[in-house]
Amino acid sequence: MDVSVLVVVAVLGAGMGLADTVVGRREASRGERLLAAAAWGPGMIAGLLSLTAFASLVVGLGAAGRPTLLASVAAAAIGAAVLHRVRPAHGPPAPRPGTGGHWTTAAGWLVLAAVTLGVGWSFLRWLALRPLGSWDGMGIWTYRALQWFRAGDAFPGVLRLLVESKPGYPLLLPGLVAAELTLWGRETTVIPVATGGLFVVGAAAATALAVSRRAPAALAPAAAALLLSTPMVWQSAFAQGADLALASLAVVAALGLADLVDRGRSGAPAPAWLVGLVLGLMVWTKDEGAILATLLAGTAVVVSRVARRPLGPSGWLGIGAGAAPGIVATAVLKTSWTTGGEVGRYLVPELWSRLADPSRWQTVASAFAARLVPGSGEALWGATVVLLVGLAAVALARRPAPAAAVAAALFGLPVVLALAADAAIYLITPDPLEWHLRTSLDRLGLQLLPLAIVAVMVALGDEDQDRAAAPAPSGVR
Amino acid sequence: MSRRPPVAMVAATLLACLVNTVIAVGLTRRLDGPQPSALEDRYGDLRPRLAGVARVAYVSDARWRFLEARYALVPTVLDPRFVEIDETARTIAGFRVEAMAEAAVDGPALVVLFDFDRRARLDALLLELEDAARRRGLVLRVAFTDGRVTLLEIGG
Repeated sequence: MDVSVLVVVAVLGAGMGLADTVVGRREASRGERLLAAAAWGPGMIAGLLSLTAFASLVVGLGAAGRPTLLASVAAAAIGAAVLHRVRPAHGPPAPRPGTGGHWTTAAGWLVLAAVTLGVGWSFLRWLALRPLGSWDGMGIWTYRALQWFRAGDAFPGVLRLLVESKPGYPLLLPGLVAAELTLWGRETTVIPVATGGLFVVGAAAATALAVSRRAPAALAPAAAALLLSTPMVWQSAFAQGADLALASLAVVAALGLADLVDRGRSGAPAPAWLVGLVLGLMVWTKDEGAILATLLAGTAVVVSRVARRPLGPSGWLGIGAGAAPGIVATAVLKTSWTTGGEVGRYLVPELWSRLADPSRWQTVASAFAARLVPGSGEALWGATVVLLVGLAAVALARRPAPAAAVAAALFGLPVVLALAADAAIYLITPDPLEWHLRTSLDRLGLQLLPLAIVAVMVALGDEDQDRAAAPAPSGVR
Repeated sequence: MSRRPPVAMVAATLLACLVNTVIAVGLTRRLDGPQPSALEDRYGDLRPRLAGVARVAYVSDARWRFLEARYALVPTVLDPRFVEIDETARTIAGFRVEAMAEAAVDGPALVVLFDFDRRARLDALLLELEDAARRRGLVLRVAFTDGRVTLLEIGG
């Protein structure tokens, strides 16, 4: 058995998943299919390639070669094309979302185009002023890659990079990209730029896709523009540390869960195993992804029961089976190949004294509040947080219709719970608290931002259809 | 069925985009070039110490030190090699440290050990480096140390 088999299986799986999700929606327009591909593709393909490379090393198959990778991609493309031709349409057609107002749609697209140009300009400026980057993710990737390349074993070295890097960042697509870029001699700059660009597209597309399917389509470009215009994105997208990758995976997973819970409205939901696969990739992508994936799945359990739309054993079995590869790989990575998780550093007797320290509570509360209050020195979140908090308050006051409330809860509750979990982690962190907050709070927010945008848009923008929608059947295929 | 978003909501969102963009453009315009090395603040200018050294290995137990070292070392030497030591004693004692020590001793003429907050980590790494050098018939000499940063010369 060669490693190429594993790579083929993983990439083919991704191709099949995309085909099932994107192409399987025969009723979807070409634009929506492209949007779905852009939303599902970056995080999923990158995660699966990373996962497969790691698996190949764990089972002693060594590293894959470039021909293997190219053959795998070709196989995935062929598989997707075959599925596209033979797979019949499945499930009842989704309710047509309508277009909303033409003027609002046009204004949204205009603003999105302008903001996208702005983000592109920010990439150029970062590139010109700090070609070697500014943050750990970029620094590590760049220098590790250089180190391996100069050692003369570019492609195997890249796969070693995948598994021997910072344990929190197993999703190292840049390494795979870098292997090709050695021929260009520009690996120090192009790797992070390409990665940042890829995941910016993924996060924006996932946000727009979720909004277009769960709220008036006219809101989709405005939602993507809101994400991309947030100053934090401009500051961090260039040297992407997998935060946007995790954000896009989270939105796709939440959308999949929402479709499964509320199957009658979505027509042809993604298969449960595919949703589970995305949750597993969240665990694999970053440590924070494990928390967020748990919260997404837990919220789905609670919401499906409260809304009396249980997924059923087969649905959860499928989700569990799909999540298994990412969870198992992460467990193996943490226990055998790297320095292990962070949990042991937190669960020490000093934990209680830290929890009882009122000054730590005050510091954490101030840091969170600074992201809410304009002019308090945290300009990185601009008007986004203020807008979302205000719109969420309006949504709660108007009491959204039941279907909208179910969907909004699936996207929004994990955000609230994740913020609470993060606050608790800060309270007991063994690291210097100010440093920990300064270096991670904004990135955590970036991971949650698309979910928050979708939750608010869904809660406020879905009333007409809620009133017209038929009761959703329970169960899952 | 028609689904129209509340106009006020769209307007508020687009207005927020505008405010965001103004802030983001301002922040991006204020970006400047490479920052002075924080290492220089703490340890003084290391470049004279590194003058004439063809290659340097940089070893630290803190990821973010790479970024500081970059500006201090890259302009000075032709082929900096950066070796990161992970943060737990388990790894310090494990195979990865040995591999890293081998890599550090193999190429560079100078090894720079930075910012080991825990003395045990530094001692463990020094032992590994000495072993690696001894196997090659080389000798390690401490050229400079102030307790946190250590420069090691590798000679025949």
